[in-house]
Amino acid sequence: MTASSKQSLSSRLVERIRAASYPVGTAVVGLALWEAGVRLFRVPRFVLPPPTSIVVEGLNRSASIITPHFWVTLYEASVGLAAAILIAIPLGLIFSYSTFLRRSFYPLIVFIDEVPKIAFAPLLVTWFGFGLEPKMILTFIVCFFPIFLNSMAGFSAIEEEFINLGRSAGAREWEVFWKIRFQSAMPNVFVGLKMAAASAMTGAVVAEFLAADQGLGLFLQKALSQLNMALGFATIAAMWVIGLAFFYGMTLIESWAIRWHVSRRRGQQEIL
Amino acid sequence: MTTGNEDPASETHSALPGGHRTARLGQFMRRFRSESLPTLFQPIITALLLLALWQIIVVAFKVPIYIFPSPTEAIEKGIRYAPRIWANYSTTLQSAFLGYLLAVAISVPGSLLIAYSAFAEKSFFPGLVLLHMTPKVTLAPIIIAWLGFGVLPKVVVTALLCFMPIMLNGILGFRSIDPEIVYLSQSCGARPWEMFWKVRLPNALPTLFTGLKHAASLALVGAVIAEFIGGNRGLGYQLVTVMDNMQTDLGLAIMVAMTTIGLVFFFGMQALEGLTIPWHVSKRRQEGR
Repeated sequence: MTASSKQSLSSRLVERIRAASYPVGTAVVGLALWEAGVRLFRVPRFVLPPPTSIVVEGLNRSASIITPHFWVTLYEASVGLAAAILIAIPLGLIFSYSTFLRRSFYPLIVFIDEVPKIAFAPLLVTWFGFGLEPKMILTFIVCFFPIFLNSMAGFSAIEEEFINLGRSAGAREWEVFWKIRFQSAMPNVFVGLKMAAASAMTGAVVAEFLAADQGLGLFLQKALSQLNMALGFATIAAMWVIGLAFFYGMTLIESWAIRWHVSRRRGQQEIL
Repeated sequence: MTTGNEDPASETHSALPGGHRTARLGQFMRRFRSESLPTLFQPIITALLLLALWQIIVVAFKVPIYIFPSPTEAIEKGIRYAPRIWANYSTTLQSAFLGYLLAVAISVPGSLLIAYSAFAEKSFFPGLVLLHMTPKVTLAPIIIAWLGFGVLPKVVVTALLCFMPIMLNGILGFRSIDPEIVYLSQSCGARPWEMFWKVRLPNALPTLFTGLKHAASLALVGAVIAEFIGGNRGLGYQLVTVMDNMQTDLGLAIMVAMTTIGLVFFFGMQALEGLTIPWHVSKRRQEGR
């Protein structure tokens, strides 16, 4: 029994490596072509630097310059996202209980959601200046809507049968809420949370593009204005680290929090 | 009334988490047509009350116009500056539209290639999923540094943002076909091009349109961000300059104008979807009831 499962495990590993070899191969070939092309055709460094010089430049400058800006941007995005989570989920819960609130505000919120959120950036900069606040608030605005709308949908879309079953099994009111309503809303809530996590960094960086005295967005603008493309690409890589860490961090939390959910099963994992 | 916004049927078509937002607006519009009058008026009344409250607060507390203008001031400014807003409006609309077209022209054939070629799928698909999660907005300054201040960088940034949703939904659409349908058409003697044109393409279109609608809502965002960073025309540029001069009232009017571009895109795609795949849209409408 254990032997066979072990064997299937190792064969699965081989399978995984084989599957991974294709994208890794593509990436390696792509990077090699980039490097060779840039060197062969003597593309000027201020147009497109080779990947190696991006890595070298990034490593050289990371401790002194990139890292402090990295923490600033990470801090702004985290605060904005955290505030959105803390406000949007309870608000979604409240809306799911009140038909009056839903009827009055839901259509409005759907339409406000169509306003391009990043367009708030210039207004926030005018109101709050060059500090961290406008970045946090823009991140909050960007993250709020997906979490709120999906939480509301999640808390509302509970099959009454579950609740009735819970009640007839003698569950108390808080148990019905905590064990049934809350749990069954979680898959939907996490859809919103993942969307928000994927765009949190974008909110902070777009606000930094416009006006900032620190942060990766400002640093990218500076590097590019000096035509230091290698440093620019290294900065973008640092931004992607934040963005991907948020998204995959949230995915990890999801897979821990709702292990039981259907979409966590293998079949539907294919796309994301 | 049930909340009605959770129609899982339409969401399973989406390959992306972001598909939900457009699905939501579509569902809302469908419900809008079938709702009773009082339910329709309630949000309108709320909106009017909120606007009135806003007006009263601004007037009563004498909020300076550059901090927060009253709605009437914003409307008045918007009307007064309408010609200038319109000039920038058409620039932004043009950039967003061209960028969107570019994304469609690359990603629809690309998704076909990946759906049909196992080699291309194995090589590119995992990378595409990773690329979808990377924030592409961060590339905007580099693209502007390369391409300058004209229309082209806006078009490219827009295309960059619109590209992935169409691509991933296209792949999902072209790939996910019921094998029995394929077998049936093959045993009926369908030729390869008939297979594609009459079976695979119609089967893929609903999912593809989910991606197209999602991308439609991103097109405006791409153009506006590019105009923020390096523009000399367009609503994004105008918004930044206007806010630099603390003309918040005009800024709000510009934001409303931006939103209408997003809505034009969305409802344009919605209409195109209705024309192209009426069988699917009508089915969805019945399910929604």
